[in-house]
Amino acid sequence: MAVDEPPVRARRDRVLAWLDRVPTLVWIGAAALVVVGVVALFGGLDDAEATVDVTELQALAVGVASGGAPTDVTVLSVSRTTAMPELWLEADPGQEFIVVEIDAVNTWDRTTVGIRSAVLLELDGELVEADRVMVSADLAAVSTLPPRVPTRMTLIWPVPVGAVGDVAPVLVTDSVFVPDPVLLDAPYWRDLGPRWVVSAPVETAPHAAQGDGSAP
Amino acid sequence: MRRPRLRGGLAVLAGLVLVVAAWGVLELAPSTEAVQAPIPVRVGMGERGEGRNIAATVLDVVIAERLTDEDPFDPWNGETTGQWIVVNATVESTRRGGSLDARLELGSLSIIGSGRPPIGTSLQTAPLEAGIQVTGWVAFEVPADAPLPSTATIRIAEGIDSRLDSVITVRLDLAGADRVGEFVLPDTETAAR
Repeated sequence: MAVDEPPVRARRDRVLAWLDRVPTLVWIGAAALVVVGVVALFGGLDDAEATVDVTELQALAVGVASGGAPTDVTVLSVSRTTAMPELWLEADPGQEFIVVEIDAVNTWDRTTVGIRSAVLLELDGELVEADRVMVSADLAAVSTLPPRVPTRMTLIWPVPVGAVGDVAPVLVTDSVFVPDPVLLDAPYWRDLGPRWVVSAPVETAPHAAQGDGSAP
Repeated sequence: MRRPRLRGGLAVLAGLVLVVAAWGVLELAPSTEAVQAPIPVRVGMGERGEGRNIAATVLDVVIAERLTDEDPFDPWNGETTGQWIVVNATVESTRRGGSLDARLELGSLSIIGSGRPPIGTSLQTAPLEAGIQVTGWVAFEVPADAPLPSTATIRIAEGIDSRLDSVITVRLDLAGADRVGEFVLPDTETAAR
């Protein structure tokens, strides 16, 4: 059995004594730096992904249901306009409205609240939620969808004139159900972001919403 | 020589027993959802239910294909591909002002009162003041792809977060409810101070 020679043992003791003098906070700080370094190494400190490469998304035709969850979305039409009299809306100078009409079905068995993030518009690589989300029949602004009631909806984005060309990239998102979350008290749907892209031809209309035409 | 081995074996066994016991405790413990569940105050139609912060009396239920309101110039178009269950009730926030949260349990479905009816015609969006009774209707948009069950349950709470708080719970007789093509939502009525 090897025994440390006295000079070696003395050197080890000096090192241990020096380490012993290092304050605990320094150790904690060093450990934190290591964690941050590893996180940075794997991209954890990068900016959150606010853009999307539409070429990587699954193409979906106008009029075809996404089959997404919990909201199954069918993009029906896209139009541009500068005025929507039924909503008392007029675009600011240099702006126009992009109006997307969809059929949406909440396939879950509870009322959902994520309709606003179910459909996005891609503008210069940015994902943008609609400014207004309404039921087309009465143009009532809603944030929820009842379960299993197919609903025709009108979504409106104010955009700079020319920001959307002849074809609008309408993105449809998907979510996954988390039945037993660790930190939250109730099950929820985790947003997976855009999964489908509908390259919809943009029609020009004086006003595109399908309300009864009467002012609110 | 045998004793340390025996002791080690006992330690492993004890460890396994503790793991199984811990699993058992975990399985038997109520879920967070159950621990924080609202406290139901169950009453029948026409009976006043009073909880810590809310009181309600459910008066009537109607099933309608379409809703509208009393506005003669610009009537609301409450069309749906489903159907409407509208519930008439008198509600009162008993402690502080707030808002109503009405939910319908219909078979396996849980439906929040619709936000579509115009302001002033729905209890779901009516402001509540402490001690002031409000009477009106709350509308639920429900699917039409399957026959309605004969009963449903309405749960009325003050505010959307009813964890560990009172919820007035009333069973609705849908089989005996009036069925109409169009139902006109009257304005909500607030009792005089």
